[in-house]
Amino acid sequence: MATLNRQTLSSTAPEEILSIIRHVFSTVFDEEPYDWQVEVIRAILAGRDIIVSAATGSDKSRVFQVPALTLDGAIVLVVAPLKSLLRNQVLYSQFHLPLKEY
Amino acid sequence: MTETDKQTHRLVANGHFQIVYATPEILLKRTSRFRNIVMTRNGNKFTSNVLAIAIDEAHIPSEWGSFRIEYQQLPILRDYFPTASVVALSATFSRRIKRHIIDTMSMTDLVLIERSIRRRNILKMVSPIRQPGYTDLDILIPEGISHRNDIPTTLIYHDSIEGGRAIAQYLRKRLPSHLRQDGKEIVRIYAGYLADDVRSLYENDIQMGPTRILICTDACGMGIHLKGIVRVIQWKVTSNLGVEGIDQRFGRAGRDSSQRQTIAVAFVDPTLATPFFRLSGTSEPMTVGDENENENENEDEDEDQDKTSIRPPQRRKVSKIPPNLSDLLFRLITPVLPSNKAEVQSLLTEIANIGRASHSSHQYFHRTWYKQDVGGLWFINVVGGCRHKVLMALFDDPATFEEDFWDETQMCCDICVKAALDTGLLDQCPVVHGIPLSIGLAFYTEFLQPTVSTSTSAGGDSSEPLSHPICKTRIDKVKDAIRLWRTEIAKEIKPRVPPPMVLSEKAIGKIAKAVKSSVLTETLIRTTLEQSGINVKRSGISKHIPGLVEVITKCLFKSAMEQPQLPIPALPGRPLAPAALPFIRTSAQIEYDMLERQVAEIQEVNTAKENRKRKKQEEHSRRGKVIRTTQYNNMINIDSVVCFGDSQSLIIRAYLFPLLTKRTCRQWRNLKKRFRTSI
Repeated sequence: MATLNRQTLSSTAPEEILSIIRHVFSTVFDEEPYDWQVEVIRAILAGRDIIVSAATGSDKSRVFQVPALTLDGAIVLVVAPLKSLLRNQVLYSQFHLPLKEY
Repeated sequence: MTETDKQTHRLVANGHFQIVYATPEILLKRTSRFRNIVMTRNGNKFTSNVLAIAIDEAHIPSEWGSFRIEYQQLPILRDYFPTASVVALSATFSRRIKRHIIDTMSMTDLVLIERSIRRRNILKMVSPIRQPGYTDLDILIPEGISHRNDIPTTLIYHDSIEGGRAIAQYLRKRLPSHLRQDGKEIVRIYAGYLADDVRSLYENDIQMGPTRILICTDACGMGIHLKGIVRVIQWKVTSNLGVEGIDQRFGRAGRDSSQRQTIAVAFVDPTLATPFFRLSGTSEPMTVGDENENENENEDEDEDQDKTSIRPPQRRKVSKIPPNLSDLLFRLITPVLPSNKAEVQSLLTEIANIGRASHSSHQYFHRTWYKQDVGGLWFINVVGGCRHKVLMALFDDPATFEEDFWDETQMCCDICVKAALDTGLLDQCPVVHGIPLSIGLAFYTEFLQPTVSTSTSAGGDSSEPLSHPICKTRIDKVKDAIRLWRTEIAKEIKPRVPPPMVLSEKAIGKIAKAVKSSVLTETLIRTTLEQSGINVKRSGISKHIPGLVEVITKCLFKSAMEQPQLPIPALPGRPLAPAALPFIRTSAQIEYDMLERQVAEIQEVNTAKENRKRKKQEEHSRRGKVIRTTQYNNMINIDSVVCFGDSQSLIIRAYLFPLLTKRTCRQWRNLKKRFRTSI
């Protein structure tokens, strides 16, 4: 799968980033990203802080799963309040995301 | 998760995993192995490669900061990962919480993404609990079902495990006989104490079919992705739940791609509902005195000395309950409509101010319970517009003031359904997934008194009619009380005249009649006396009228329990008669007694618990084993205590709540003394 490289990230064209994000969405989740999701992911890649307020069940978790898959060697640290919530997400990630170990 | 072995930690440190999930405790507790192995070593692959820190359900840190201390330390992560961006995600960000996160996480280069939080496919409804026990939940199991799949998949939230068990047992008994043998599979309890694999099994079963009803404590409250839930029930709304909690739980419904209609109902104690705010009149807002405050603070320091170091430095003392609180309560029926945008916004600012005034210190956090509830109370009591809109306003939805439309295929709330029935868009009250919408609070408000406007409520001099008259035995007692009062003042005004000459029996009868059917005020007494031919000013009774009002009030308070309760009408279709509620004017007193009883009960339970714990510890120490006990003071379940009466009793609870959570009764005793003398 095509991924971005950290060193060349700043010089990569925005269109290319967008196409890679779309590619990850379509291959991994089999869905089209919403505009706001793309916006958040771009902001993450640009190293900005983000506050996202979106409805329950609107696939908020995508926005931190995708950058980890998009950028080579990147790690996303997810802080969540409940163990059950973590377990739920970890199970999902293990089954559905093409995660690799470095 | 906590007992992950060293090797996994090393793998994490070497950057083997792309997504690392953790609770704040794992990341930040001093004794945490993860913190020691992964985070403290400088320059390992993990710390240098972290691209982003995502804080999921980010409304939690400011809510739970008081009893999960690590939440307060989340900003430390910034120092560990200076280049990483911070992403805070939630569906229930109020303005206050957003501000809090921006401040504490020192977000400067900020991108704010505000999507509409409205979920059109969830019908959000509030219903009063009108039958004893769990009888109201009967509707969850349809009559005459042949297969378990005829029961729509349901989540029931209740904030106590004991209560959850009781609900489960009740519902299992309600199953038809041929399904009862599988009762334990059809109705299940999902709670924090379950082992991980059991939880996975339960999650799987509710999505795949065998389990139809899952009763949850907060373990399943937010973030969990369960497919195919069509009904969410919140059984009783407690004050520590807050509007965020309600909405998070409601949001569990309908989380699959198909936008089919789902329903979420919050069953609330009837005392939480509108009539109490509107009819109880204003009461003087009391303030928590400074001495009380200091006392509390000292105790806090005794209790958690080791925690003092992590208190936020900018601690601000909150010594007063906002004086506008009682006024605010009267405004919590304001509908959110494009036409009254200004009003709604001022209300929102006030709600936010209440929050902010007490926000900076976790020590006072638990005593500011009411601020969470103000939003919740608004959600419950709003009498127009749409319930969704209240949540949207509270959570800063950009679409809050957009024009609404009625969609018969996706109904949004009980208020809208009621409006559609009134205007003829619907001919009969719909039943959604077995739940008749007529049980909603909107249908019940038609029995309310005409709205008392907020501006006149401050005066309290108009004689408003009571929702139902005072019964005869109580009126007789009032008459006796007036007679006693008469003999006393007669001695003073006209010592040589027999008391009946001062105030005739006829006049007493008239006063009693007036008291029987309208709200007691001085003006009412004055006009009644003048009507019965007494010259109030010249006869010298005038200055005794406040005393008379006091006498009558006391008498009514004492006899409150003798007021008969009217029978509750049958469901469905017929709304609840207001008389089924406890009598309004005396609710403060009734509630006061009730609270007192419950405090005693809670104390009893607590001492029993502590005894048990001590015994256990002794036993363990005899065996040479030491167990650590952690006391989460705020986690006592007090849902039965929390019910709102008029604003006066609200203030009583403002005292009471911290006392309960502190498990101390010294202030309570002081308060009791003070309260008794003030009545």
